[in-house]
Amino acid sequence: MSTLAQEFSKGIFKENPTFRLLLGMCPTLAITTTAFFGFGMGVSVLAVLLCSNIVISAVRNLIPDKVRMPAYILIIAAFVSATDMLLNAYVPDLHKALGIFIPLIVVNCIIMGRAEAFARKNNVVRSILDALGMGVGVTISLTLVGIIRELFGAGSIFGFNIMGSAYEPMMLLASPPGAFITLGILLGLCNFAFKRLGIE
Amino acid sequence: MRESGLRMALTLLIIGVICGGLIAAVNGVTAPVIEERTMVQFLEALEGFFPEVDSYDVSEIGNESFYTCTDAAGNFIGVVAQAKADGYGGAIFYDLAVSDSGDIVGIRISSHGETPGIGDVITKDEFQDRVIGLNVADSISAGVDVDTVSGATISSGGMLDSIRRVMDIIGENFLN
Amino acid sequence: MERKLVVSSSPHIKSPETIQSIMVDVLVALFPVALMAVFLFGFRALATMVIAVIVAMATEAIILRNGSFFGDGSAAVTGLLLAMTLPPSPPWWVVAIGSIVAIGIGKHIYGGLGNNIFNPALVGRAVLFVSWGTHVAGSVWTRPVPFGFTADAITQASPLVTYNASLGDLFMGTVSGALGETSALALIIGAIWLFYRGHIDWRIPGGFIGIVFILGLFDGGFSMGLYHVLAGGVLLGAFFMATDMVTSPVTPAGKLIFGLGCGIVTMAIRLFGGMPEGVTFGILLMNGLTPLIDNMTLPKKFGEVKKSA
Repeated sequence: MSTLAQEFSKGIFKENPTFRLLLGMCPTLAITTTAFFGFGMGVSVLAVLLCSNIVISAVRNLIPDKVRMPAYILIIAAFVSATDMLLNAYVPDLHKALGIFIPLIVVNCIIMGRAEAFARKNNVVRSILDALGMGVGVTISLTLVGIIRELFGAGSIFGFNIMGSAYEPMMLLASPPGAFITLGILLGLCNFAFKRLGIE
Repeated sequence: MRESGLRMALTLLIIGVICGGLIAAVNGVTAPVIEERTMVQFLEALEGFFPEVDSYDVSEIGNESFYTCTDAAGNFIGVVAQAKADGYGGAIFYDLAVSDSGDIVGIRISSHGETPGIGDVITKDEFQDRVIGLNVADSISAGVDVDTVSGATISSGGMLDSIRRVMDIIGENFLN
Repeated sequence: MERKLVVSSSPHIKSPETIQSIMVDVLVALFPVALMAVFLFGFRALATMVIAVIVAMATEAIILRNGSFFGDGSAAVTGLLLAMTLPPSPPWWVVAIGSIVAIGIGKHIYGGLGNNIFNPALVGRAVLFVSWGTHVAGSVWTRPVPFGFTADAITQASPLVTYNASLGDLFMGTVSGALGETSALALIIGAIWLFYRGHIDWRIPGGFIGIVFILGLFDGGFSMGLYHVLAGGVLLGAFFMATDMVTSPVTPAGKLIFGLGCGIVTMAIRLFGGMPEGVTFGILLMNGLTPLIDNMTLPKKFGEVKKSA
């Protein structure tokens, strides 16, 4: 049985959902045009993941095995809808920025994956730590991809101009193929680094 | 315990009801806030389009609302339409302000699902400046008197189609 | 890659050809094309070619860390081919990034020479085209001034936009365009050398150029067919890019299919697409299909019978 600290930290490094488990690729590719979008998406995923992990681990013994998937989908969809409406009401700027990608959290494999792989087998405390670790891992990863794409694709980071006014943005990184190329290079670097560190 | 079909159905039913209740509750809290903010934003935009506006009349044509604006002296000064266009990522909701002489004086995208960095060019001056100033008598068709934005052909083309349609409605019903 | 002991199945045929000898032949074949580019577009063109080649070789040397700058010569060929697809004088950093991308992402990410899926030079060009379209396409084509080595650059629309250049100008190359694509004459001289040395097969360029000509016929008769072949990058692509040994099929039938596919995509983009030229994306797309084409057109083994389902 791993310690509680490991339960939290695994999502950030060894089992980073984006770079190690390759989960949630759709939002990773779609919304990381800027660092802020990546960060906002990461935090939204963190919030939904935390709620769904808590509820699913709490009711894990009440749900019959055969219908657990539809049950999880219902629970996750409810939290996503609630998040969508709350953001729209109280943080309209972020809601406007993330647009259609908030409803898409429903089909984010990270949340479904953690429900299936972790929350239904572990108690609430461990599930909370798991959700926090995974959520922070996603946030860091998406922000990183966003920073790289925004830096080269627009010359700024979090909207602050970095490259100066003479910089001519590399449109490729702002466009969808740029997401694939950036993610591919980061995945390669990650695998390289983990190999060097001796972690498989 | 044997997992009977009844138990499965009941579990899903209960979860469904609870989730539905949660969403309804949240919606009950947030819907008025959202609606109020949307209306405030729309009225701010309307006053931005026609600073001299004193009162307005709402009329519904199709599923779209048209606000007929009059100034303090009761003169007709223009129409603001709350319209809908088909974009690349679903519907685009926008406000289109047309003066009494049939010129487009303003456009505001209120909500859209276009791709950030590509299709969302419709919210920016790069696209909007192409539209502002066009007249109801103009053809307003892509490639004739206004161009779509390259790379965002579907988003900007959808907007142009919709603007043409709204202009026809306005020309027929509000301008003489 | 140097292996101490190569184990492979028969037959073993010893060939005097090495990668280096082939690459040198390609460089020789590109010489008339490069010469023509300098003749038409002046020293700006030479500068573009030199930057592209040097950056490409430096990138390769850094990645391989084998201490040899020229190496097997393939980086020089990639750099020069990239320059051939660029306008006469893009900013130096655009050329340099193109070369770095071509060698780094186009070639070595896949494992180096022999393992790349896409033609590296065209990967470089595609990235530049998508990223800095204003510098490598659009209104960047300068008017050629024969012998005007230091003449001022005057921009002029590409013949693939205007469709009004004379066939004679297109053949000689006195039209605007990318460095290596304007002069059909120089390209044909270079191609004859490659044919003579046996490095390229007639099927890929034949299929490519043939189908462009035939589809061009439908766009306005015989002269339009010729126009489509001579204008733009079809000849450069057909002789030097599509024939790249690594990224094109090895079977005879496959080569023909590959060439036809390149031509069809090129013409589809030219006639129906949003861009005036489609050679780059035509070849890149077919590069991606190469393993599939090879698989489909594998010749029967001697004595092989069709398996019944």
